[in-house]
Amino acid sequence: MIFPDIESFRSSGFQPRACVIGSGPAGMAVTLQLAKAGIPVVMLEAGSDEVTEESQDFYRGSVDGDPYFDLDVTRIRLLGGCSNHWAGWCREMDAHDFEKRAWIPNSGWPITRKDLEQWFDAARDMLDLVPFRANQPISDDIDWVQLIKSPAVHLGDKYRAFLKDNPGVALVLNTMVTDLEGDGTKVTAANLWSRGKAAGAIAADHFVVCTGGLENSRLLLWSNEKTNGTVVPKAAALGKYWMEHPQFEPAVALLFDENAFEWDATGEAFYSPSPAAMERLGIMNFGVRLIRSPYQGVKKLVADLACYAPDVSEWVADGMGAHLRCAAHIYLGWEQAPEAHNHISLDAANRDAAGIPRIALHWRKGELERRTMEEGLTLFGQTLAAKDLGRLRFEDWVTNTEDYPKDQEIAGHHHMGGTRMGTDPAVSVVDADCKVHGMANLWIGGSSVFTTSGQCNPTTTLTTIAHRLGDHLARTIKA
Amino acid sequence: MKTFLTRMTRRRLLLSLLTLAAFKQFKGQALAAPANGDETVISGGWLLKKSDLR
Repeated sequence: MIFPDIESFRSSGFQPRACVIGSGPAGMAVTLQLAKAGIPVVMLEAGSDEVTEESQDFYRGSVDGDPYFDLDVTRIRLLGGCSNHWAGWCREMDAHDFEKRAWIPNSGWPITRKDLEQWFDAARDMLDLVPFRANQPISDDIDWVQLIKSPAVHLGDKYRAFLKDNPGVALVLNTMVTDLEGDGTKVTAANLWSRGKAAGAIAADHFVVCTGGLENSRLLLWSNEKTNGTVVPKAAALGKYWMEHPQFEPAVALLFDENAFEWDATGEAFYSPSPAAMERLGIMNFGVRLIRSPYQGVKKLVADLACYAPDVSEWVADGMGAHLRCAAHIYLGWEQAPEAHNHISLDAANRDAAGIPRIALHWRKGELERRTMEEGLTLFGQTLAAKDLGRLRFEDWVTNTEDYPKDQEIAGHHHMGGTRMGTDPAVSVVDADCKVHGMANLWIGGSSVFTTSGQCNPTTTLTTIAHRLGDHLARTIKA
Repeated sequence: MKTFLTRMTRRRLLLSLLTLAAFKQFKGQALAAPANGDETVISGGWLLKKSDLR
């Protein structure tokens, strides 16, 4: 059933056992799992079917530290959440992404990749993916890895019929949760805002917060502030350890035989470091994305290479007639260490139309991020050279150790952390089942629960974890 | 004949670039050897094998 607002929902008399807040990939996954298990569930969406300026305004906020996107641009507020503006790149995190790595502060999830395997199929079904192929080493240090481009499904469109026709599910549009009420052991109600005014409250046995990698922290910080900490009673880590994937174009490459690379249908190839290389160098995970450039780019690179390695350049030029040579742009996206100083706070001086403080995001890249970029790139270049697959040329800002350029991608629009998963409430907010520490009925879905970020796009992993959460919650309710 | 000329033109271009290269100061910066033991240097922003510079 789909309701345009909370008033029409109330008229229906529907009694939910679970209330899912947010209809993006995480909220949708949890709702589907509960619905399949026969649990009456209501999913609240603050936006509607279409994006509007008025709705997006709730997402405005401020950023200090490194340059970052406007917070009302890096996310979108309507049915289906971020699935409405994602590029579709997918990959499951590797097993080593979940492990404790002594050289990365605060690393180590309380779950392993194996704990998620049971829900990979469900996540692939949701995102229209085929199974991923295993990593293929091309050297001791570098693996070919597969990213699959989903058709970038819009989840609101994909599941509209299911939501509309299923009597056990209620989707309520135009209904924002302003804050939760709790008693220190459980959430008792969620207060609502709809169509420009306060709209009462909703009760349920369980609440699942799936409002996005920034908004999850905001909702819980504000709820705690209003209730003197009775919604997230163990809040030492709330809003903290926020992460992104820095993304820049730090190099180009001249590839000697384009047939030696496994290009996907979009003309791109992806590589990552082996766990042994990361440990040896004390760096984090990264993803090299090679994008073939037009043939003209080869000539320019060969000419430039001739200034420094004339013999190699002449040999390369000899093969150009056969069009074996290839130039490639190198995009690097990499892991960010979870650090408490990268955090979300509430800006009491700036509030949205509902009176809720806007987000102040404090975010910067550190020394480990810079070293991962430089050494990771060098590692990849050394593999190209050692195997005579090609040669890599750093951009000037890398070799001159200048600051990151401001006119490139900057980051992946991947909002992670803030309500991270762990066993110690001092450095985490939810447990291995995504339940808030100390609370019996408050759960969190989405990439805000990531303990560390890995190097790959987060949607596949967050969707998998959300399916697992939905299954676990269904079993909990039935028990 | 056309292929031969194209090749000659290409070599001439390379030779002129080589002459230019001779005036450039070498600024090779040695890097740590990777796991496979090949020594590499950075020169002009290029990550090269030491043997490339001969």
